[in-house]
Amino acid sequence: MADILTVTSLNLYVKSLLENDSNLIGIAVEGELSNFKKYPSGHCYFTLKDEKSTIKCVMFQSYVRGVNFVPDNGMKVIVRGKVSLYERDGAYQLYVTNMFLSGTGSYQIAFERLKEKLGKEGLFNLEHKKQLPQFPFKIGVATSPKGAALHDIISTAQRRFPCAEIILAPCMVQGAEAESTIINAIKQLDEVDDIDLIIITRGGGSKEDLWVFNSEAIARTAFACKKPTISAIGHEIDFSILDFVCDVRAATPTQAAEIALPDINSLKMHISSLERNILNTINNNFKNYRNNLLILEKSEGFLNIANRTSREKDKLISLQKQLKSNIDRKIELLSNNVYAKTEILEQQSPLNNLKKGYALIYKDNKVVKNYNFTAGESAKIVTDSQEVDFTVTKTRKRKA
Amino acid sequence: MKQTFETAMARLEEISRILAENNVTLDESLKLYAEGVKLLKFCNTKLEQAQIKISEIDGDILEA
Repeated sequence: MADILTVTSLNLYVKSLLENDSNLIGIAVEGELSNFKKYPSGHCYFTLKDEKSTIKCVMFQSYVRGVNFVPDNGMKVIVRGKVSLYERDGAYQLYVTNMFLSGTGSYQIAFERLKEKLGKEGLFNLEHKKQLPQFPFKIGVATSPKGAALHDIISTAQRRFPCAEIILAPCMVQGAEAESTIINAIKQLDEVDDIDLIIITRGGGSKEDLWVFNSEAIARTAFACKKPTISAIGHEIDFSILDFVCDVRAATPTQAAEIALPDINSLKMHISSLERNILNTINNNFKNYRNNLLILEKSEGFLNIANRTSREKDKLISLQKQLKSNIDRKIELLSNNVYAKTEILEQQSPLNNLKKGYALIYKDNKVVKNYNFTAGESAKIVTDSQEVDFTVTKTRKRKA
Repeated sequence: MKQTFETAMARLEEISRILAENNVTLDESLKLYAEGVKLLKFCNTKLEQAQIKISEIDGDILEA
């Protein structure tokens, strides 16, 4: 009889068989999720099934974090992992390390589940939508530095608003590590002070390629952004969860740049028209003031004043004339008077007497009167026609 | 407050409107005009750059 084993040792033995079977290492299994439960610890327990069979699965918290969708019952998935045995229950199960959606139906379900969940939380509500800035001079772009999306955005920006600056936050836009790099890129751009808005974008691709933009974590990061966000993932027909969270959804990267940036030519035209308006109105204002002045000048009140002033002026001029003529007359009178007086004076001058035959006696060049000459003395007699020097020979008293 | 393109444009629209209303004094309209000329210069200067600038947020370039 063979050795009697304990239950534990049996389970451990089978477990070692399962774990060491090379056929069971790193396997991938496809099936439908059921009995899906996520515990507060973060570990997930579920059953994978097909038409005939089921198998219990466990996915530990550290691996759950890498799943880029919200797993739910009914989804068709492919899981990778290893087969082992849980000794307590003697149940063999799949220890899942990766989980991928399988088939378009599953993608659709996952998408709807997350949309429903975030929608209920209010992440898509209109009141959270931020208005885009009118004139963004610095735009942040989270995308692949090698992708067509960046190229489209740059060429559109160059055409529409070349005075802008693009700050690129490079990230991967597909694959297992894309999610964390996208989150990081968005957060980095949101921290730059003078960035006016953020565009999160990638060019067209398969549903699987674009799948990362349905990530719950990316959606929450975009939702938490302080700056306005525009999503532009794939083409017109592609909708992602990110589109619902961002402030504006653009159908393509080119459209994102068109929405974000104003057209420089119309802006310049608008500025020119403002310039013309200002110049015209100020010219008109001045013209109006000038016209008002002219009207005022011709107004009755103003004319009356002007007339009155002119009347006063006439009066003043006539007064002035009168004054002048008065003064002239006075001067004439006075000068006549003076002339008359001069004539009298002239008549009375002693020189006048010479004409009558009198003579003047000069002694030392002075006219002398009542002078008593002595003999031998010299003097001068001035008549009307002559000056006569003489010497006195003899004097005698004149008989009266 | 720092002058931005937005505030400059908004003020320009305002000045254009106030001047058109025609009830400003000559003195005031001259002041508004002088302010408008300054703002127009500011805006036109901002739009001068003809080549879009592109830079990366940090030195790391990641492969897609």
